[in-house]
Amino acid sequence: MSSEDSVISVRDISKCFYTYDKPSDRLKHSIMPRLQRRLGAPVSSYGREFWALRNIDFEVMRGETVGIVGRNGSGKSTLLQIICGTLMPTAGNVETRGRVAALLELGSGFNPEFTGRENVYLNASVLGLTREEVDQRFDAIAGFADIGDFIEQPVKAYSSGMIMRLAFAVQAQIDPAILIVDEALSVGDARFQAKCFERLRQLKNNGTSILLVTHSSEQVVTHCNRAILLDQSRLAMIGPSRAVINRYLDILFGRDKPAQENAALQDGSALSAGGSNHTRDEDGPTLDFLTDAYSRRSGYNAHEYRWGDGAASLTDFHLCAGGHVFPPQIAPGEEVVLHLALRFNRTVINPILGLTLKTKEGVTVYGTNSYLLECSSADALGDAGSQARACLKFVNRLASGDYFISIGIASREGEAIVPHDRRYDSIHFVVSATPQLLGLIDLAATMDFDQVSNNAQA
Amino acid sequence: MNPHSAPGAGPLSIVRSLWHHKQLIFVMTKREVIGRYRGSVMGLAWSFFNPILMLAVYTFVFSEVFQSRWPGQEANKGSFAILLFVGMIVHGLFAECANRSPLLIMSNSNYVKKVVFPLEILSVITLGSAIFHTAISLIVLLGAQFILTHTLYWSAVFFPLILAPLLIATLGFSWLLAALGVYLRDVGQVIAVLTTVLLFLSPVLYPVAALPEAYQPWLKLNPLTYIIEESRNVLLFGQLPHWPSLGVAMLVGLAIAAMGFWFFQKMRKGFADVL
Repeated sequence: MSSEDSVISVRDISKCFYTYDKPSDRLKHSIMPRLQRRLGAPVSSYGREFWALRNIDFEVMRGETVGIVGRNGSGKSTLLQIICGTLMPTAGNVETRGRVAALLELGSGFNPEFTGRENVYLNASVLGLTREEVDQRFDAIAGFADIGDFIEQPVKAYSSGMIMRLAFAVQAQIDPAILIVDEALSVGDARFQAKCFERLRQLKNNGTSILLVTHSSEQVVTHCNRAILLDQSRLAMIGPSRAVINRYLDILFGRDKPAQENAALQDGSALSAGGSNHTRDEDGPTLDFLTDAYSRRSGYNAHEYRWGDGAASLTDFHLCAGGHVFPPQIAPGEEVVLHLALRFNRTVINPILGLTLKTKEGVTVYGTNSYLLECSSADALGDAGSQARACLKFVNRLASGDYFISIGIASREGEAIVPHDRRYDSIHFVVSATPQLLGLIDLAATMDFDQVSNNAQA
Repeated sequence: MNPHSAPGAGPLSIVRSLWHHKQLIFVMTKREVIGRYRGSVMGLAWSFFNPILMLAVYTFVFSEVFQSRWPGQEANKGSFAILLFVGMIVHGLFAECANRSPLLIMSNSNYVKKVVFPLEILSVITLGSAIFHTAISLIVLLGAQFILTHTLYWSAVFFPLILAPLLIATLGFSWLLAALGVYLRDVGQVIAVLTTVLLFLSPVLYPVAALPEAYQPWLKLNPLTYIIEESRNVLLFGQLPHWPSLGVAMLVGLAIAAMGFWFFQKMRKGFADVL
């Protein structure tokens, strides 16, 4: 028995779908193997197996919001359907405690011929509410959906946004113990989405556990305590949202070999043991090229996400702004100087150094790299065993808040980008108060006024 | 209701499910009945016109054109049509449910895949809507009987009791066919033929007594035979039901319902995989 607070326990679930060439194969498949087993004959198979999920195992606690991410076809929707109880797992079992409300795809369970009002009653009674309970909540539901007189029209006359609004309103107003949202919110306009997330936050505070499937990594980072990454029917990663999202983005865009991750980087340190440990340049601070001083520096984010094939390593950084070294806060308008120590463990042809700035919500504010900047001095680097230092400078035009710097070394191999050492969200810094502006960035707007006398028009 | 526990398949679960979902069943049956006529100019009035028109056609064709006479009955304008109509009502009730059941789950795949829905009540809703149309037809029948023969028998109050075993058995068949129809799409075609055959192999167009004695026992194996004959007895001939056979019919009906439900509950786990 798991802990008291666990509301969803998914235990070692696998799901297999069969596809058949002919409908009669389906019939044979449902009869013959059982018969053969009973007769002790070898069991023959008439269908092709497709495993949509393999050995998925996790728990969701009360009041927790968990994001589920993964590429199309990775098994997200199948997993949600199994948790809802509309699909049965082939192996393993699921336990849920309390009322489960689900928004699976659009207009789940709505009958297009019925009016919005009728569908609300129908939908709510399917969820186990009595007529009286729905009567009490109807105004709240209609108010939340905010679709006006359309509530009395058949649902087939609705726009997809309206269907989603009504569906979400029903699910969110019945105070479920578990709420499952499958990509549905992306249909709503920005204002309604904000309203939905506000409602999700309230539900969460009231103890509702939420499972959110979305392709928006920002939503996961902002709203979820934890995230689950599914890849090729398996649970690839479970943990803090930011780390999972970084991994997800790599799977989406990179050609990764996660197993090699840090092990290769450790090996590399022995290679260049002959090199000088510390260097002191007249035009730069002391940097460590041998050990991972990077992770000992002030401002280093221990929750960074690091991966790459280990052909090069980022071993150290030095951050300086407005003359302050490793500043606790960076003032607006200050020049930020970032020194980096690079070591090439193997030969890298035309290395590319990249920089990305993100908000704490995961929004990319700025990103560039040495290739885009046509920084030709980088092309000469990359001999095995060599070291290099990089100096990046930019003027801080960011609005007040927390930011993360991601640094990466990669190189091109034809069309593909081969990452050698990527340290996502590895450096954290804070921009001090910027009272003159709202938003993310200081565009240095100016305003001028001229008094125009009324006579001038005459 | 925990969606992950295995659905109960015993006879008690039927009662529990029906009671638990009574509001849902009522609302959806109402929708089903009204929904059929939605958008038509005459609306719900069609449910009356249908049986009235049918009865008028039977009267004209059988009494005027064929000049048919019901064996053992006096010739009376319209009496043949009324005798026929009783059989048509009973057969129609069963045939409507049986024909719709194989497609029931498929046409409601939303309820299978997108929400946790008590799928077993879909059969109940189909039956409920068929009962509604039967009731309308019955009113038309009694009205016609009164106008044409100026007699109504008080024993007609037993008609619902005669029908009860059929209703319960129909529900069982509906569950069985609904579950089979998901996996075997051919079931729908087979049933369409079978219900038509059943119309002629039941004493709808003729009484059992009209058959040669050798065939009569065979006809009595058809469960509809008993129901139709007894319905005529209570509605048109003023006879009381034969209680012992009603009791047996009831037990058979309950057994069929229990088996149908058991089969449905066992098969439903796989519905979502197939649809």
